[in-house]
Amino acid sequence: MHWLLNLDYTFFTWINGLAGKNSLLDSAMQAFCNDHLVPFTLGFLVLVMALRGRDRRGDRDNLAAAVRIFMAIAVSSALLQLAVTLIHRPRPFVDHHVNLLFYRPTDWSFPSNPATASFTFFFSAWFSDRRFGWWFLPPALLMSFARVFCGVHYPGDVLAGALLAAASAWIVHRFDFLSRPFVALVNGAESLLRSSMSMRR
Amino acid sequence: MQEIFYEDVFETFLFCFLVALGIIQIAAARRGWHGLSIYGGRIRANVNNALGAALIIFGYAWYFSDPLHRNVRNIEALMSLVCLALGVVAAAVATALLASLAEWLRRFARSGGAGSGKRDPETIEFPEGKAMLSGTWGEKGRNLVVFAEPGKGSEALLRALHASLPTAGGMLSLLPRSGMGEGDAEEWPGEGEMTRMLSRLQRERGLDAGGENFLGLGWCANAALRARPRLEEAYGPRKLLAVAPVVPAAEGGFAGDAMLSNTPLDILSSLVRNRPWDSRAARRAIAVWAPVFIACATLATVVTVAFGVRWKFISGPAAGLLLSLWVTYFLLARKGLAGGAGGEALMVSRARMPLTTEGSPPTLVILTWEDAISSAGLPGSLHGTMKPELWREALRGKFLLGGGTTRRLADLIWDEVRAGGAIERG
Repeated sequence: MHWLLNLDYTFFTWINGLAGKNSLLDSAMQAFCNDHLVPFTLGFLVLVMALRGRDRRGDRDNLAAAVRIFMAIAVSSALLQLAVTLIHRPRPFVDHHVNLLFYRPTDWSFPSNPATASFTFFFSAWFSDRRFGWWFLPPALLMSFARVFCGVHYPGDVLAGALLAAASAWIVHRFDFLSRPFVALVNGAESLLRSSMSMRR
Repeated sequence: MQEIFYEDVFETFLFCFLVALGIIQIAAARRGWHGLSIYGGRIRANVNNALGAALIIFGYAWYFSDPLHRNVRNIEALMSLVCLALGVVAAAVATALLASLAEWLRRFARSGGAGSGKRDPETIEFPEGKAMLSGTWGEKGRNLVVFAEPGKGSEALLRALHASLPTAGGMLSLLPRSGMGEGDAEEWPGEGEMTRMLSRLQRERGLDAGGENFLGLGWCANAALRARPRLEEAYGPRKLLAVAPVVPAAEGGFAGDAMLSNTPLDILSSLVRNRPWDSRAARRAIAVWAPVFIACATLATVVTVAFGVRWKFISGPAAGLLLSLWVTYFLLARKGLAGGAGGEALMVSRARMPLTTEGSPPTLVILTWEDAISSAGLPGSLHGTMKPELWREALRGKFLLGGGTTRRLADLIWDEVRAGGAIERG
């Protein structure tokens, strides 16, 4: 286990060592690292996904995908809380000298919360739509990389977050009964609105 | 610190609202959901695209220009998610309100338009519905009999048709009191009302509809095509035009898409009129859900109180609501009340009927742009012998926007009526 932590720290020093050498790169990484830019962009991408269909069949599939994404977020949050309760790993700047480009988060480092959330968006969208889902990957990768670059996470935290996200998305997509009632509700509302003019009594 | 927190929540909500509003506007322009366009409607889709892009760019630029939103701890993840959800919902509500208001203003500005002036039709009320008569019932084959579904869009088109009536000819519009889209295959809805009104007019006014041009509009186009054999037998129409019939979408098998050309206010008023929540199935579903909700909300609130969860009296009932919906679905599924799309399937079967057109007089089924998209992938068996024609500049729906489209459609219809001989389309 110790060698794994050492390896993780080695990778951390490589990535975090890049910080402070180029102000433009630092600014970009700070932007991607922050708590709002990528998460909100991913949220808006879900809205784009829900509205991008070409026909009503496509719309229904996309709405179902959006519901599953939010369910996967809920599942990954639950798993994350469980992991945080069991594993207490301090932030890199607590134990080491790092190039810190961000504020000092006070919660535990493992697994990375932003990486879990952003990769849950990606995996869940990708399970539903293998083409559009790829749009969720660059923001998730950038944010995860930036968290290590700015010195607030180890690479292992990010990797664990991504694995947790993949598991959450898989659970929601594999066990269809979890999301089926909400998908039915959303599709029912869609049907009611869009067929309202055709369903005269 | 607390003050900054609340200010930040509001700014985050506003950011989500602006960007979501922009995305919805771009989607409305791209998808042709003209009823959701805040400005421009179907005539100026690019304006909507530009408006949407401007809102997104402004939202991002404004929000991230504040250092508080870049590299400082402020609101937490859960609150961010709440801001996102509320922002999207608020954007949808604002879109509905603004788009309905904009369309209402457009309609108000046009209300003194096509129908007013020298050719106001004479309105005759019958127990079965309403008839509008204009012009002089002249030489046989020069007059037009219109079966129109009730509604603002079709009435606007009727006014435009009456206003642009050719000098040598008459026009009779019949609007049944009952709604369209109901009834079985044997007797189309309103058929009784229409024929009774025609008989009364022949008896009382001496109007003979035999051998004239017949036109069905919207749902009435479906109905007229379905009643074609009986129309032929009774009146022997010179031409039968079916303008903008309701076409099922090929891919989904759904009839119509209210979003294409109706404002949210139109859709809402249609829902209020039809009262789907009053149906037996809906009442049974609510009867099952209500006790489940009370139980789930109570249980979830007890849990949130016991574990000291924040906002326990909001998060508890909210979690209970979600849980109750989840549980209710499976209870309803066991009773056979969930998991089907019976209503839509029924509408599709009704809409399919008229697309097979067999008969002797020439029939022209006029599809508008949206209808043509819907019908493009329909199986051949549904088309039958129909030779649909696409009128690109004629638009269907509850409202026909400005820019001359209503008049354009009226002119196209009169051109068809005036054209001599049988209509031959290949």
